[in-house]
Amino acid sequence: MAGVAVTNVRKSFGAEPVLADVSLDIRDGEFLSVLGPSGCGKSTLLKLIAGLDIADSGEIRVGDRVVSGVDARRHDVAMVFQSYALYPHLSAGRNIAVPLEMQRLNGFRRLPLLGRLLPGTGRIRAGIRADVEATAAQVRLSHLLDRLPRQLSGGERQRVAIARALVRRLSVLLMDEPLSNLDAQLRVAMRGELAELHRRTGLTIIFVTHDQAEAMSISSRVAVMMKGRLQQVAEPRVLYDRPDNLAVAAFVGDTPINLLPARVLAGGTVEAAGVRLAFDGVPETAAGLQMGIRPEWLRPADAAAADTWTGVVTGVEYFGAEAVVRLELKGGHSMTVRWDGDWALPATGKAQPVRIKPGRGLLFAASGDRIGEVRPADAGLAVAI
Amino acid sequence: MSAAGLAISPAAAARDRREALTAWLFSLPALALLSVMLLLPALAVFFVAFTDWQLGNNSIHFAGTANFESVLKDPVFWTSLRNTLVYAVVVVPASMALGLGLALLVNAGPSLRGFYGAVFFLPFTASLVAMALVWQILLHPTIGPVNALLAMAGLPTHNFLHDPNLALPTLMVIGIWQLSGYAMLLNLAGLRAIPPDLYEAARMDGARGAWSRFTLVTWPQLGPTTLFVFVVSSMTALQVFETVAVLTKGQPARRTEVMLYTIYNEGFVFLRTNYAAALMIIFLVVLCGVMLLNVLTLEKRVHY
Repeated sequence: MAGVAVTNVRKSFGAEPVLADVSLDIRDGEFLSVLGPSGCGKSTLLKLIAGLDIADSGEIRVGDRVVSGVDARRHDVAMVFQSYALYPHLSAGRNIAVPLEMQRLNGFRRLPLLGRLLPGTGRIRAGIRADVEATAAQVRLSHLLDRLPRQLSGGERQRVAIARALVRRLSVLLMDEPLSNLDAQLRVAMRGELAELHRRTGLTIIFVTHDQAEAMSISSRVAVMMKGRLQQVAEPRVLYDRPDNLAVAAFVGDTPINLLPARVLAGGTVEAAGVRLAFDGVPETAAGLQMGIRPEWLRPADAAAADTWTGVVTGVEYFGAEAVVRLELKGGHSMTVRWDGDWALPATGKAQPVRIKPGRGLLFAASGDRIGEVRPADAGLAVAI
Repeated sequence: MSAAGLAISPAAAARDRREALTAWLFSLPALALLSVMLLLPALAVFFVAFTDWQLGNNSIHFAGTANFESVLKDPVFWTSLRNTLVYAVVVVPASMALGLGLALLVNAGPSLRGFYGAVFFLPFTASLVAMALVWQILLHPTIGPVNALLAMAGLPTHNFLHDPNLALPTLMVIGIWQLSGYAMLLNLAGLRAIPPDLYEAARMDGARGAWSRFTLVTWPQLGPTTLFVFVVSSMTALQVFETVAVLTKGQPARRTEVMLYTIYNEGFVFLRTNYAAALMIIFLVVLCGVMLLNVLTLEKRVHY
């Protein structure tokens, strides 16, 4: 078993810096997702850990071995590719066997026909076959080993790719957007299977994705990456409730977070679009503040009051279990509210007051960093004007 | 449900007929050209092969299989067929291997890729008659630079095109020189279509060195390209004609007599049209047989 330690790694392609001083500690047996928009450098980071590319500077360790600058096959990590990268001319079973053949058979033994004549080849091949069958059973592929990749469905190809990565029994598994080529239902099912695989094998898994729901739902920790820099590494819950900065807050969450311009009043009170919330630790001189309110933190109110925002309903999207209601506040600010599916839906064009749940609310400085803490629920009731 | 509901309405039927008529009218020019240029001459050849007609004759009589019998009894035909097959068996694999090797080399270095591609492809695009003349000068026994080089190196000189043992091999070298550029260009395109993911997967799976990568990824991925190159090269090689007609005229001692040249001689020099037609049909059968055999055996091993 082994963890992975990435220390001060930099990488640029030409003049374009792709990774700027990235340090990341992945604990033994952890399921860590690297989450970020496309082009943020997350796949590059994975390739560096895999040894498919070489960092400009910095150090990468797998377990207690330094692997930076060492060829991929000595990294002793396995990888599942986004495209699965199966060898199309080999059956599923032969695909899974390739890493073992490369490891256990030398060049002469791998020769077609001739290799089989060398003494011992048959015994080694039988061992490989047994290991392939055991691994295939692990991902429920045993009945498909004779099929060619093109005769398999997307989900089955995915399982072949995973089996090929598992077959050498290495302790670190890298996955580069492995679910993005699957349809929505299969993706959810596969997500569960991956979590189950992780639980059963205790592997250290590094999982790269651009889908925040995917990252949040299966990982023990998520590393959010943007423009070649790690923004925050935390458990999903922390990432959602207490994002370190505006970029993370905006990227995490199904419906984008609401942002309102805010200013500090005396006594740590912060006012945003006419509503005041009590915050601790906000300097009174702070300017250019923004208040972040997740759509789930808002509730409809019966009547307009000092602690409610009132807006005209501009749109309602109904999904069954929930609805998304869009409001336009005075001053032109728009606000999105997550509506429970059971609640009566507001009519478009009507004025609708909403109130924030006690203890919720984020404040961001002009730099984008999160500052201050909203006062806990009992003391945090909105202050009347 | 009424019967009228199932029947096609007269208006719809009329519209269908109009559409079909328009379609035939549009294809008419192509059909006419195809018939005049390809189908009718082919039919004519087939017909003439069973008659005694020779160019200039005023009468024509059915001759049964007499032409075919005399072809099969003619030693020139058998020499010609053997030479053609030997030529193809050497030229096709050699040009394919050379083409693949060149493609791998050109593809390996990113700079000047286009330049080398164009240089090696040139022989295939240039007129082979003109290129044959260039080769004639290169190989000339007294003024040719090839013999001059051999002499400078202290090696014996040769009259390449008139030495019975060297004439066909020399033509083979020219054939390989011409076809390998074509094989290279197609392989180059095939190499660029290989997803880079596969090479990365091979590295993750522990493939050591160029040979492992070639056997695990490159060669299987080039399968369809190779099959295509093989079929086209075989066709081109079996129909070798220009170099023979310009350089050796089937000589010395019929060592470079090949099928198309024999047919040309019979039909246009000796004017034995009926005999040439029979030769043509036999050659066609041989060509189709070889191709069918190859495609059937190879296609099973190629994965698209």
